[in-house]
Amino acid sequence: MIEVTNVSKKFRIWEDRNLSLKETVIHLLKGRRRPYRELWALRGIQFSIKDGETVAFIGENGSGKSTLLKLLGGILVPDEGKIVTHGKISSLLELGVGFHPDLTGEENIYLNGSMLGFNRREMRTRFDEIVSFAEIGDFIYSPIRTYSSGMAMRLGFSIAMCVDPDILLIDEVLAVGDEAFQKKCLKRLEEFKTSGKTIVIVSHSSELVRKFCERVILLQEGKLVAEGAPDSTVDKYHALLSDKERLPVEERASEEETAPEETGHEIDAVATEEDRAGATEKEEPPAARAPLTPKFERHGTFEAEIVDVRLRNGLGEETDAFVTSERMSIDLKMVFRQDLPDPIAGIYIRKLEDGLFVEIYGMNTKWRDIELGPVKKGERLGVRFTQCLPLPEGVYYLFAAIADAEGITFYDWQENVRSFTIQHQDPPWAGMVNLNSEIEILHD
Amino acid sequence: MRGLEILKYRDLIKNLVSRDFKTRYKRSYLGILWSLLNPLLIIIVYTFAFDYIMRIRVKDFPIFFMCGYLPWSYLAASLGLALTSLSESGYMIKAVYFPREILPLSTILSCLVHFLITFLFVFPVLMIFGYFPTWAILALPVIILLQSLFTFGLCLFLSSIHVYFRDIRYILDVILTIWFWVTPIAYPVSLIPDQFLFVYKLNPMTLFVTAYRDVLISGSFPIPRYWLALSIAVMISLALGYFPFLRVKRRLAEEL
Repeated sequence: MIEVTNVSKKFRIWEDRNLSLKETVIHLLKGRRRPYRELWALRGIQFSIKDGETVAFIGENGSGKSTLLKLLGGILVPDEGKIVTHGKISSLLELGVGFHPDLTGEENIYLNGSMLGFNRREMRTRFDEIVSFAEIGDFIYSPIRTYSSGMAMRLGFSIAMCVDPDILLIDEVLAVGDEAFQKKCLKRLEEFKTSGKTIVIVSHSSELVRKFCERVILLQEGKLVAEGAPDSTVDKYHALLSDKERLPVEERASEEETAPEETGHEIDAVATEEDRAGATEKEEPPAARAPLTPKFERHGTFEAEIVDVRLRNGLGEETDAFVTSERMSIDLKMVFRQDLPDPIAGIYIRKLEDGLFVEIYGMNTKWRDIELGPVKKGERLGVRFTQCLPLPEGVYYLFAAIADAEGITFYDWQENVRSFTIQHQDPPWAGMVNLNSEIEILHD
Repeated sequence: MRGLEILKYRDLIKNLVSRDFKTRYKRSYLGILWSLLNPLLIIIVYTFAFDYIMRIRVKDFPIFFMCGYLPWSYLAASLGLALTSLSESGYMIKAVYFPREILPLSTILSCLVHFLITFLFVFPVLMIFGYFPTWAILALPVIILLQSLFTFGLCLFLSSIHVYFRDIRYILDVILTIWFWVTPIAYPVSLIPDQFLFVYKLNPMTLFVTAYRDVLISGSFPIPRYWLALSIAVMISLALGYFPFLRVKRRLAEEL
């Protein structure tokens, strides 16, 4: 059972993060504290989750849903309100926490397990299950630095999937892995569900939320704005997104500037070293500024990898700015890590409409009967897709992937690997596709 | 309550210590031997410098120095490593809940393992010089425990401060150097001028070093006054450590 009563959480945004001791001493001598702003990431959240319920938090980036999950997991402490939980909680916010490359898979299983709150004995009884779930065989006795990235990822998943808590908190982690593996994870989650465990997930996938959850909580700028059945709440979320999209950009920006205290921001909790080093004056959570900027996402088995993607215009120059009806080449460079009988390479050009991706155009080597394989391990290959862009003005996103012949196993799946713009060029036209009419006057 | 929670996570502590232990000397040829070789070499160097060149009058200098230097390097190594134990574990702290003191604690424990390993040559060397263990050896585990608790307090203090003030690392370097020389490790207390004696009495490491020497060299139990002083030092250190730690802990996952 989870009971959340009037919970608020604020973050401190340090004005200048890298204050040294010298500056601090000067500060202290002058009787000042280090300057920071406070941002309320969550305000007055109230709900309860019964035992055995499956609940999803949805909302835009920066709406506070990950923060809420971390509060439930005890990773963050609320500034106001109370959270009461009964039962053993496992937070699966990241995979393979504490993994050390020099330790074997086996040692890492015990380490990661103990981090999730399971002792050696409990992990030992699940050991075989984890190894077979991860499909890594005898590699389990080798250091994980010898693993492919796909194998390490699957091991992390498997530990997460085989532990046995009363309450499971999952943050998006299941959105990676190849499709077959994802299916396996979903099946496993269904088993969790039927065995009466409480599951709380944060997800961007409307499909998963609709199919899997019994109740959905919608967050917007740190407030709970809707709660209820999956279908209706997901619809509300989409309505909310499209409302926001329709607002002109200037208006949105000024709105944020006039009322910064009111807006709930979520600090990007997975800020990398570089992020921190680079952040000096403002630690503006990037997600909060541009809520709909699509993230680069990559997963797959990595038996083949796309190592380079370049966009070129009709003159062969590299660019990301095009004009309507210009010719564009997309060059993919690939490396094959395994012998593969019949790989296919494909692209999609996509666009954001109302917060959702709309596929504008897709193509792959198979549809044109172009055979890349069989390829040998270590082989490198380039593919060029050249096409016209009879498309309206806007920002477009490129999706590129390598898959097996059936398109079931994705070796490398790269969402939003590049973005590019298209600008209108005279003569004018209207609509979604430039059909490039020829107009004749017919004299009767 | 707090103590009980740590107990629930004892497997995590064990695994973190063994992770550190297994990976520290991975891919080095001599591996764990370095834990023995390193202090041995230092003892030889100091013996050469202080015994042969500067001719400090101490009976069996290598033994005398060894019994001070090994506990000292246990402290120094713990402080140096535990300093960043919180600030460099952001990825764990942000992903999973566990009692955060486990991070500095497991660092100390892994240093403790290395310290205990050095006893593999401490006892043979003692015996070569004609010092055989007496019943006072029973006090040794207690002294080691007290020193570990004392170190834990300081590590809590330092690792908490380091989250906000990275400069503490450089300050620590200076402090450790000074602390080493104001502790009678390479020279006996008897050489200290009377007017500075109070400094030595206030230095907890003097107490610890003297206690180790009592037990290992003199073969006698430390006197009750020592035990009292050591216990007070431990309590002060733990209080000093928990005070900033409890304040920093609440916001740790967001500040890293």
